[in-house]
Formats: sequence, structure tokens, C-alpha cells
Amino acid sequence: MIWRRILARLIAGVPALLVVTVLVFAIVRLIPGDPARILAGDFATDQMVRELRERWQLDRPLPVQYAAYLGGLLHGDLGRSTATSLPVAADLGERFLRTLQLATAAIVIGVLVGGLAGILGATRRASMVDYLATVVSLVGVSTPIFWSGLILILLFSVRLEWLPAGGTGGLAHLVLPAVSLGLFGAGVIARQTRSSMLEVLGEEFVRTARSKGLAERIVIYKHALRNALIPIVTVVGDQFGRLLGGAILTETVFSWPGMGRYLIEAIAMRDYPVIQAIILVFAACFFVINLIVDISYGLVDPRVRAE
Amino acid sequence: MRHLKTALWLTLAVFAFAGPAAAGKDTLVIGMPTDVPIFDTHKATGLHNGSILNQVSEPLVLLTTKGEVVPWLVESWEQSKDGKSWTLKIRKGMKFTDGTPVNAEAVRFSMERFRKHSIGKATLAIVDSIATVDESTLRVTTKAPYAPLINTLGYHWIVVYSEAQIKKVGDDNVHTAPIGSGPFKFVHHKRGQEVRLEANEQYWAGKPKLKTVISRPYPDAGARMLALESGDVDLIFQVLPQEAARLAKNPNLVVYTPPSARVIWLYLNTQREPFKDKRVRQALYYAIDREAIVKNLFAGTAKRLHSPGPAGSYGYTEAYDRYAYDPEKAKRLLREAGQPNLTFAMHHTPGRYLLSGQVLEAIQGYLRQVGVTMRVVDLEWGTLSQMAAQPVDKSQIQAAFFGWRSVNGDIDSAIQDFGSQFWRPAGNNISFYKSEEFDRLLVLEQSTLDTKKRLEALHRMQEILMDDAPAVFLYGEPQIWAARKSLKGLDWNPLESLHPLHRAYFEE
Amino acid sequence: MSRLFRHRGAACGAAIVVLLAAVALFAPWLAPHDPDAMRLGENLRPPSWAHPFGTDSLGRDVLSQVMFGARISLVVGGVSVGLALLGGVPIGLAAGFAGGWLDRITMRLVDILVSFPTILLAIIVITIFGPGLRNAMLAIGIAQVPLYARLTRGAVLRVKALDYVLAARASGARESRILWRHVVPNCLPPLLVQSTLFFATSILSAAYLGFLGLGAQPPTAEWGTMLSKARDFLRVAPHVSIFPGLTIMVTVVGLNLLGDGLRDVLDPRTRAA
Repeated sequence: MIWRRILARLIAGVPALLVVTVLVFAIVRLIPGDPARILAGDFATDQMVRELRERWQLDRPLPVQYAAYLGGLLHGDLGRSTATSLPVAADLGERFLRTLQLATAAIVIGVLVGGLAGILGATRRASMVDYLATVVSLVGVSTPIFWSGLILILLFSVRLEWLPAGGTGGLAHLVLPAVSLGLFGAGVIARQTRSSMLEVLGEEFVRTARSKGLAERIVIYKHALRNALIPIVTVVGDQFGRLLGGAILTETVFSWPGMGRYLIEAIAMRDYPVIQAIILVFAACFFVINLIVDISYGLVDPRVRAE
Repeated sequence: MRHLKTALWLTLAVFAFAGPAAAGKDTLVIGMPTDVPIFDTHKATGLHNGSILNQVSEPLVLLTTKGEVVPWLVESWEQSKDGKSWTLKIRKGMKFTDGTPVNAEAVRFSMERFRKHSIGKATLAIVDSIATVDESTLRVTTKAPYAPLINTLGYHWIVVYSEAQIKKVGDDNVHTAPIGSGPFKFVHHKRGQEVRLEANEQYWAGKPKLKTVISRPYPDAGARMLALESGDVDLIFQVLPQEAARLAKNPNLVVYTPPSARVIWLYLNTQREPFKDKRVRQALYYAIDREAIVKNLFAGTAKRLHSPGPAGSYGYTEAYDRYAYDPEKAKRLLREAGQPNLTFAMHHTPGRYLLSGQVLEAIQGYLRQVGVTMRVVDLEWGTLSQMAAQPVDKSQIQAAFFGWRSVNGDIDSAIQDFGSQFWRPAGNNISFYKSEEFDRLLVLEQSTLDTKKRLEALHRMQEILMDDAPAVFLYGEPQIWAARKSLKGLDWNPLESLHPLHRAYFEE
Repeated sequence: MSRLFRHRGAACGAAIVVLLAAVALFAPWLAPHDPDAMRLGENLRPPSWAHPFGTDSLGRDVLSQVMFGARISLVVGGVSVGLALLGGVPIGLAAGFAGGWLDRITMRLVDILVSFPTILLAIIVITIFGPGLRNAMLAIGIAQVPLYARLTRGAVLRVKALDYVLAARASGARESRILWRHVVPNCLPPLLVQSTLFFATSILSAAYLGFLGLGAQPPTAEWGTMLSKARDFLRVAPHVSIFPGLTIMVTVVGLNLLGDGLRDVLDPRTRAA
């Protein structure tokens, strides 16, 4: 039953992905200039430009070009970086994993901190704790990611010298960037958790559970949270997508060798094949996340599950 | 509660894969401002990466910061009587790390490979032919007599690779497994993360004391310094001048500022508006407070230039710098030249020269005070060098921010490029400057053996250049490194590159 | 209106916003120094009486720069919101009124695009058209069009379902006139709330792009651009990084408070329990 739903959702998601590929394909063609020269880079010899033109069918009509592009994608061919003359796919893989690492760590922090803050705020409504949590989440939402990153560096790396400011080399290097990025999402998650929980806590079945004499904790976590999850899951999925965008900034501030920083470097170098590939991966990720959220909706929503 | 535990385990699992830990006492970790774009010295760009690339593949001779040329792969050299041909003797008994010998043929092959690429074409433009005479002798002929050729050959991008290896992996893939004769062997290059090298125990100049050398890119200057202070790296390059003093106070660190031969100029295209008019060019000199830039932006670490420089080279004279900071005079000159509200574009590559962005912003400010709007166009180095290589009728450059160098300690090599026969693309006269008197003096000083006459000529040439201002000669760029105090055995060339690190070690 | 003033959060937010708008408008008179005036000899000085926020690496007064930066942020917010309204409202109206397959397709598209990260879209636009504040504002505005479309359509649907509208239709009154009379007041609250919140996020997005070097270019004193240059001097002169960032934060907090307050007052359905 459930698998069929998941499959249906997956198949429905394919056109969205195709739309993404079309958009990314369009980017290079929208830039003024000869697409072959743009993709070949500033150092290309005429021979290289000719080869590129042939390989991607750049002198044929657009649908043919798109077919060639899509074909390449399905073979894992993302073109060659103009800066290094190496295939993009190889480098991208590693850097993608690094970004994934960062984003995952950040979302975990965001969910833990935000979720906790939201639950605390909801259960201790209008108290000092609630007020504090609200203020903190508001500030979290309003602070520019790169600024909080810089402040964290100032505090923990420069003044206290507890943690390294960037680069790679160990667990310690992941802490500051993950916290910086995570707190960004935590604010939103906290707000949503709090309002969802408040709604649910006022409902009938909660009062029933309470009157049955169940421990408060069970009431909160087992009953209320379960039902409050739907909008929270949406928000988390939303935030994961936003985190990917935020990762671009965090990676720049902390010199984290992920896909986001790679994109900024590629833009500086006008390395269009790389720019194109990274945008594609980012957009694809974003859609996949949406899909996962969609599917988990089906798993979490008791009304849907009952089908 | 269950979910909480799962979440915690997940977090830990994610963190665990963050990467390997730091280094030990026989491993040197270097923090550089940029990543090596491609581990193939003949093709690579990026000023700073020579230090790393040259640990694997070596240059023909070494240049010291005192202006000397030290024999390296080339043991001795001799210029012929007519000045047009050089005999180079290659040191015997050296081997690449794949066992093939480093001989004249290997050197020839690598030099020719270098020449095929754009940097090589420009650097070795004066070279006519390279031929092997015997197993360890090479003959290089030049198109015209050129005394400083051996210095040019010390340019550390002219390195020698194993021909056998190039043939084995293919010319396009050398960077995947480069084989040279240097003190360290290539292990891997994880783009954006690190370059790892390990000791070449059979190194001809002696077994390296270190086992491993790692280079990591830290584009953010602050992060780079923090990495050094926290112990993540042992040596960094391009320390901010403001920070140098602070780092020097740290008892565990030492700051090095080896003399740099790099001078920073603003090239002005003298064949295009608006810099066709000498008055406009001179106005720039009066408008920009060079002293303030050196003192405040560089905290005094840069060198003031009173001539095309660099200070300390033979023939350098300060006598002809008649430009004091005088914005009123600048405005007057611009009005006279009919350009009271001038706008022009300055081309520049960010990240290449220390604090260039700040310097240009300061210059923008100064120029705005005299009614001039300077638009900064940031380009990647490859693009900019291509643009600057266009001939005079195609050149789109009005002004460009470039670093230049003199490698042989003689001011001739800094100013000779202003000869009119050296207009791009034939030479390096990016300003397309032409002066008949200058040309005449150039021929004179390069061929005369009368030192007094030569010195006079060099002085007069500097006077002409300062007066005509084909470029604004800003300052001599400092070369600032910082390292752990226990790290010994480092040495540099004046082009901001590390010499072979086989003598480097950590003192207990 | 009076209810708004009684709402504590909104009052706070409004105060901040008004203050900022005042600073932005009167910056040329309020700023203690010319923001472009370089004094290299006084660079990287910490806060003092002469320079309450200190000086940057070229000796420029940070406070004056921040004040003039407020003008840019005001423009960015205004233009982005304007673009989003211009693009989103017509689409929402069309989908809501037309109904049927047009509505379904549009909404499907909107659903897909509504949470696409703004910064990614901005990067795409800038890749094609080049960096600069103008293109940044264009991208940021366009990124919000889907959400505005959805809100507008929602309002249209609500109006269509109102009892007296149904009644009026049944009695033969001209549909378009009725709808127009009721759609506008129904749209206004959510759009106003959204625009306030979006004003905040567009300032943030512009700052992000400025920080990455893709937005406002130096010497424009946009807050994000200021921070990108301050990074190198984080140790020697942290104040150059702290103050512009703090300003962004306060501005965005103010706008968010105002937006939340407006939502509480105007849109009772989403009022927090």
C-alpha cells in the first residue's frame, strides 16, 4: 500500500526534475555569446571549441541540443571544467558529500535545538522560558548567516581559541560551521513547532489523554507531537532546502570545501560547465527533498495512513 | 525518547566522517591563499603555487633573494662571444623518481613543453632554439644577444618532468601522476582540500629531513592565520601586514619577510584615450598618495618606489620621482588636458597580489577627490593575461593593475620592457609606450661594457620613464610568511616561492 | 489600527522600522562624516567619540557608511516587494478567476517554485546577467512571485465562496463588479503581512549577495558588501564586522516583529492559540 504511494509520488516527481534540467540547460544559452566558446572557456583553442560544438550538438536546433545534454547527464557526463580541463563529475562528487555532511549536521542541530525550544515554549506558554525561546528564535531567523558565522569565529576561534575557524581536518572543524548553519534553521523550526504544538495541545484528544491520568511527558511526546508533526515536517523539509542555499554562505565563511564554495569559485573563474553542474545538483537536491517531504507526509499523517 | 537517541547517534555518525586529524613532527603543513588549479607546472597559474609545485618538479637554477643565481639542475653555463648562444651543462647522476635519468634531452623536452603554453611562450619569447649537444649538454640560442638569459631560465615555472611519465599517462593527464626530480613525490591532490607530497628518499641533493609535506588552501586570510596560531598548519603565506606585528610577538611563531622582487604598477595604455595625454598620466601620480598607501594599508611593510624599481637593484635611483601628493595639481593638469570628469576602467585580478583590492579602493577614493571615476573590472588571471596580450589595435585595456619583477638585481630587467620593440604581444610593453630616446639608450646600455656610460644611461632611462609615466609605479610588494619557530631550513626566491624543502625540519 | 499599537511586538517593530526609515531618508544630514571620505592614516580605529562605530580599512567612518547603507536597503526592499507584487498578483488573480486547468497548472508550478532558495535563483540570474545590485534586486523580487501569486489566488477563492457573493451571482448581478469590490479588501491583509516579512528577507538576501561579491559592488556601501571587506580584518578590527551585521539583524527583527504583529491583527485565522 505505502510503497505504491511512494512509487506514485516518485513518478510524479520526474517531470519536476526534467523541468529543472531544462532550466539549467537554458542558463548557458541565455548568456550573450557563443555557447560553445562559453562552455570551452577562455583558454580553449579553436580545435577544442569545435570538438565541444560537435559533442553537445551546439549548431543544431535547441531540442536536439537538449537531447544531447540530457543524454550526457544520464551517462554522468557533466562536461569539463574550464579551469582544470577535468571532468566536472569527479570533483563534484566529493564536494557534494562535504556539503551534505554540513547540511545534515546543521539540520540535526536545527531540529534538536529548534524542536526543543518550540516544545518548551508551547508547554510553558507565556512564561519566561517561552519569552526567551521566542526572542531567541526571532533573532535566529533575523541574523544574517554569514554574520553569525563571523561572530562565532570571533568568539570561539579568536577570543577563546577553542575551535578552528575553518578548513578540514577533523570533527572540530565541522562544529562551528554546522552550528552557524543549524541555528539559522533552528529559529524557523522553533516557531513552527511552538505554534503547531499549541494548536494540538488545545485539542480534544489531548485533554482526554490528560484526564486519563497519563504522565505529562507521554502526553506531550507520544500524542501531541505526533499530530503536530505534519507542519513541522514541512518546515524541516523547507529548511533543508534553504540550508542548501545557506551552505553557500557558510562554506565561504568557514572555508568548508563543499559544493557551495565551489560554485562561488566557479563564478569567479567563469567556469560555466561547473556552474551549470552545481546549479543542477542544487536544484535536483531541492526537488528530491520536496519529494521526501511529500512522501513522509503520507507516512506521518494518520489520516493518510489509514487508507 | 527513542527518537532522541537515534538523532544523537545520527549526529555522531555524521561528525565522525569529517575527516582525518592533524599532523606530526615530520610532516609540514602549509597554508596557502589559493589552491593549486592543476598539478602541472607548465600549465598551472597562480603565483603562490610555485612553492608546492616545485617540490616535485625542479627549475634549472635557483634565484636567491640576494640576486644571485645558484646552479641547480643546470650546473654551469656559458654565453658565447656573440651573445646569442648559451651552453648549459646539466648536473650528472640525477634521476627522476621513476628511475629515468635527468639529462639534456629531458630538460629540452620539458622546456619545449613549457613553450607550448601561453606563459611559456611569453617568458621564452627571446629563445630561438634548444638543442641537445650531448648527454649532459644543452645549447640554447636566442634571437638577439640577451645577457640575463640565465636569470630568465631560473623562473620557477620552467621545470623538468619525466618524459617517460608524460608519454605514459598522456600530456593531458600529467597532473594525475606527475614525476619530477624534486625532494618530494606527488601523492594526491584533493581539489579544494589538500595537496599531499611524500619524501623522495633518493633526492640528488640529499634525503629530505621531512617525511610529508601537505599544502591546504585557506583563501580567507583570517582563517589562515588562525590555522597557524592554533597549530593546524606550520607555515603560511601572505600574512596581512597589520597582523604581522602581532604574530611576531607570539613566542611560538616567527615572521619572515624575505626581500621580494615584485613591484606593483598601474599600466596605462599610452596609445588609447584617455592616457594618450601625458598630463592625464601625470595627474594620476599627483592624485594618489602613495606614501599613505604604503604606510597605512601595508603598515610600512611595502617599499616605496621612486622609479620603476625595485629598490636595491643596480642602477636604481630615487632622483627623478618629482611627484608629491598634490590633488590640486592633479585637478589642474586634468583641466588643462580637457578631462575634468574623466572615467576609465582599471582591469585587475583579485586575490593575486597582497591587498590589491584595498589598494584599488583607496586609489578609487583618491581619484574621486580630483573628479576622476575609476571603474574596477575584476577578471580571472587567465582572462586578464589574454586581454593584455592583445596587440595595440585590438587592446581594450585602458589601465591594468599588474605586478612585475626584476630577477637579476639589475634595474635593466625591470625597465627594458618599455622599449618600443616590446609592444605586446612581442614583449611585455603593456603600455604600448614609445620613446625614441629611450629605445636608443636601451640598446646602448645593453651592449656597452663601459660601466659609467651604462649607469648614466640607466639613470636617464629612469628619468624618462618617471616623467612620461607610462605606468604609475606604486610600491614594492612585501613577501610575508609566518611559521612555527621550531621549523628550520626554509629559504625563498624573490618571486615569493619556497626553495626546495629538503633541508627543512622541525627542531625539537 | 489602534489594535496594532496595542500589540507589543508590532509596536516595537514599527518603532525600529520608522527609526531606520528616518535614518535612511535623512542620512545626508545625520551622518557625522562623508561615508566615502578616506583617511588612510586613521584606518581600522576602534569606536571613539569621533567615530562611534570606528573606521574601516581605508579610514572611512563606519557609522556614516551604515547610515547610507540603510538607504540602499530601503531601495532594495521596496523594489523587490514592488516586483513581487507586480508579478505575483496578476498571476494569482488570473488563476483564481479563471479556475479550471489554468488554475491547476499554475498552482502546481507555484507549489514547486514557492520554496526554491532565493539565493540560488539570484545566483542563476547573476550568472546570466552579471553581478550588481540591480540584477540582485531583480532576482530577489522574482523569487517571491510564486508566493504572492498563491496568496492572491487564495484571497480570490475566499471571495468566490462568500455567501453574499454567491447570493449576488444567483440574483444575476454582474460577477466581475462584485468580485472586484470584494477581492481587494480580502487580498490586502495577507499581502501586507507578506510584504513586510518579505521586505526583511530581501534585505537579508541582498546582504548575502553583497557578501559573496555578487550583489552591490564596492564602493557602494551596502551592508553585506561592507561585511565582505571586513572579513580580513576580523581580528585586528572586529568592530567593522560587528556593527553592519548588528544593523542588519536589528532591521530584520524590527520588520519581522511588525509583520508578525500585522498578521496577528489582520489575519485572525492564523493567530497563534
